[in-house]
Amino acid sequence: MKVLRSIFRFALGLITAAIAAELVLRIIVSTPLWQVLPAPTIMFYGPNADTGFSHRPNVTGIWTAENRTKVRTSSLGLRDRERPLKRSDAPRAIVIGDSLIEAVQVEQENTSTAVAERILSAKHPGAEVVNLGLQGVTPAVQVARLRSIGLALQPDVAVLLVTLDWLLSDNIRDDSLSPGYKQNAQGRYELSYAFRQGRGYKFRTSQAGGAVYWLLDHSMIARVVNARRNAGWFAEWPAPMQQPELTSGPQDECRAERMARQRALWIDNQPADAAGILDAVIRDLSAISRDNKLPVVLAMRNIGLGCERIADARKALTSAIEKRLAAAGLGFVDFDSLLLEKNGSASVERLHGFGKNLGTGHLNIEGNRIYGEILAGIVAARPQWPRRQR
Amino acid sequence: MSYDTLYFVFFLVLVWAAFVALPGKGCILLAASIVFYSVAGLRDSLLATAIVLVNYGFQFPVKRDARWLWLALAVNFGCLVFFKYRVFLASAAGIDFYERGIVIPLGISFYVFQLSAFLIDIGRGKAEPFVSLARFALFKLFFGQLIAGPIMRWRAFAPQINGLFDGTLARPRFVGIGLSLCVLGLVKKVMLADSLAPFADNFFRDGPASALSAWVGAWLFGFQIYFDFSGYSDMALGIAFLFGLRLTTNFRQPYLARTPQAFWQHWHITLSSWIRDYLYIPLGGGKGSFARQACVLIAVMGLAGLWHGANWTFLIWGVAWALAILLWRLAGEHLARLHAGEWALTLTIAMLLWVFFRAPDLQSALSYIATMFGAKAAGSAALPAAAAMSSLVVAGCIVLLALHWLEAKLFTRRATAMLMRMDGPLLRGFLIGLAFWMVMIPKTQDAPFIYFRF
Repeated sequence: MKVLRSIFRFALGLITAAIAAELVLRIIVSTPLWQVLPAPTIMFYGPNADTGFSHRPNVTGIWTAENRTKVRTSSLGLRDRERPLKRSDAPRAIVIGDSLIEAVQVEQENTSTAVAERILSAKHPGAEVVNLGLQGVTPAVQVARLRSIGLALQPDVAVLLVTLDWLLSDNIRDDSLSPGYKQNAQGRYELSYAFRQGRGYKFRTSQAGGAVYWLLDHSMIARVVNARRNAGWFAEWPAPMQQPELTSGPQDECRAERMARQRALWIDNQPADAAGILDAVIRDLSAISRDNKLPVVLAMRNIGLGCERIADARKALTSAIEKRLAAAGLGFVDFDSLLLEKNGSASVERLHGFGKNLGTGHLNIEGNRIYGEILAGIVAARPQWPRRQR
Repeated sequence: MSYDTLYFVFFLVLVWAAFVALPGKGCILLAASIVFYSVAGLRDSLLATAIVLVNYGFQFPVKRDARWLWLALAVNFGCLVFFKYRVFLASAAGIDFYERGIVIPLGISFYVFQLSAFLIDIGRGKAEPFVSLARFALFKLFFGQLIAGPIMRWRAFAPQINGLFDGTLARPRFVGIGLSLCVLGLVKKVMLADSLAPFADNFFRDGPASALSAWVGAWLFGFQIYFDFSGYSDMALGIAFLFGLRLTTNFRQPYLARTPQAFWQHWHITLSSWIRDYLYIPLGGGKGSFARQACVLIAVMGLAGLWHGANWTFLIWGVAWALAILLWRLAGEHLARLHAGEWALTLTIAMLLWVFFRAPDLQSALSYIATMFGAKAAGSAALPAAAAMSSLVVAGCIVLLALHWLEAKLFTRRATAMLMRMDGPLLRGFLIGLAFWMVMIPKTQDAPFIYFRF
């Protein structure tokens, strides 16, 4: 009996501690202390039948990685300001990209899409630029995102910020968490949604999964547990100490090898598997554009910025990409060139990272400002802007 | 292993369970300590093992003939100089070693000082050698004080170690107090020090944009390092209590000290008393003319500064503290008439001198200090532009001091007695729960204990 009483009291102590932790974290989050003290990071992703995962609607919280910001997802389930799905008479553009466009590291009004919207609405009052950025998306997910929420927004222009390397990445084939391109029985590459049959997805869309999301939205300590689960239970385990290298090997800053692989893909259709997927991406985007009379622009980044030695190879590559996309009725923008022009130099470190990590990581406020100006320029340069023919 | 991590909590729970349930408590703690240190890597572990073995071997000849002590100290401090100061000394001598990226073995300054103090005590006849290697190893390797102190003396710690192995040490009676100290340490480290770190880093990396921002930066760092190191020390004390051991207190609210001398009696107490007992007094600091005492004080405080790292900034930090202490020796009576002003002056000096401690080099430190006194801005790190926000920052600085004062109220006999009365499953569950939630919050940036690098 005495042992049982001790166990009960011990458990009561643990529960009291959990309640105390919940209260303290709530106080931190709801006062200016969130900018300083430890706070659980927001968990705003949830299952999505079209893209595997996406932002859940109306989730509020604090993003803690790289830079602290208060984030709220819109009722449409976007990392965007609140706006109706149904468009007004004002022109509307959408930008589909990865975490650079998602930009949770800065406040909503400082995201590149918000910057672009401010610039464009100065000339066309009410003009909208909708942020469809989503962490880690491949071109396959971008296609799926355009098909679903992208078209539902009835945009006048769709801009896809595509990181060139994704086209050669294995992730574009991976359909375990989000759509990926797979060969069907006829040998044709199609978007595959195998993740819908996955245990994780099924759980997340079940009632139990719903209960977990409810808990994450309403309990701080649940967010702590979830953040720990994502970071790893032993995430702080020290990496082995290593003597710093006194010399470093030669580095090819022009990344000529990557350029050669991209040229092989776009010009020589090699390797065949990747070329098949590239064809499928272009085919699907072309069909969306044609069927919906929607101008689709692919802003390609990471082609190789400001490197004289590979300038000719780069020119040949961009020319091949442009020709290929134009033939499919798609727009092409050499994002790196625009970035070089806007930034004034090929050194873009100042646009990335925060505090002591300046130079690495996601876009900071200045980076978002520059990207926003470029996006505004891309949209405004479309002949269909501000209004496409319907 | 760092105390503010989830894996350490699991480690501690396992070790504690084994300690309570199994016989051979000394061996359990020794094994745990070896596992604890081995996480630092093979190189550091081998070095620590070698130094422990060499010192174990030296204690017997030193007992027989104190002249052996010189050789033992030469080996110990030779290791310290080789691993920690060789680049600094070489560059000071104008020799260009291309080895600036040297990795200092974890905790070397602490274990070399503790072992050297032990050997000196044997030489002075104030300590007895350990016959058992296991006992000797645990004396130094106990994971509650291995990496960043407190620097324990034979007189205080050896009887407890012997008690552990002999089975005569009383069962842990202060578990509630131990857990409270662990939670207090975690609050200081996780909630305060790690939260202040990015802001202090910002001021010292970019340089302050105004006098006010320079003072705020120094203030934030002053509290960051206090919460960081005293938080670690609180946890070390708390962990020892869980195993029935009692370590020496390392901090007693130093920012409430009225004089620089008192500051050093409340800041990193075990290092201060080490320097007093093994350097200052033997060198004749406590007697002779004022000039002689001043020279000795400047020399030992300079060495105390250098103990923290191989950089001119640390040397100047130590020497400047010596000058402050000397100022009080000369004009202490007049300064005492300032009452609260004396305390404010000491606090200001402490914050000012932290700039030398934190700045990456002498040039940065001097330009930072110049900004503090109204010279042109050393950089671009400014307080928030909005008046309300910058007032909030200043208010936050005052709150830090208030927390420091509040902490003093926790360490009273009454508070301890109350904790002892309340100790039981409910309190223990509550404290373990709090500690668990604090280590559960994933770290958004790498923030190891500052004193681990010393």
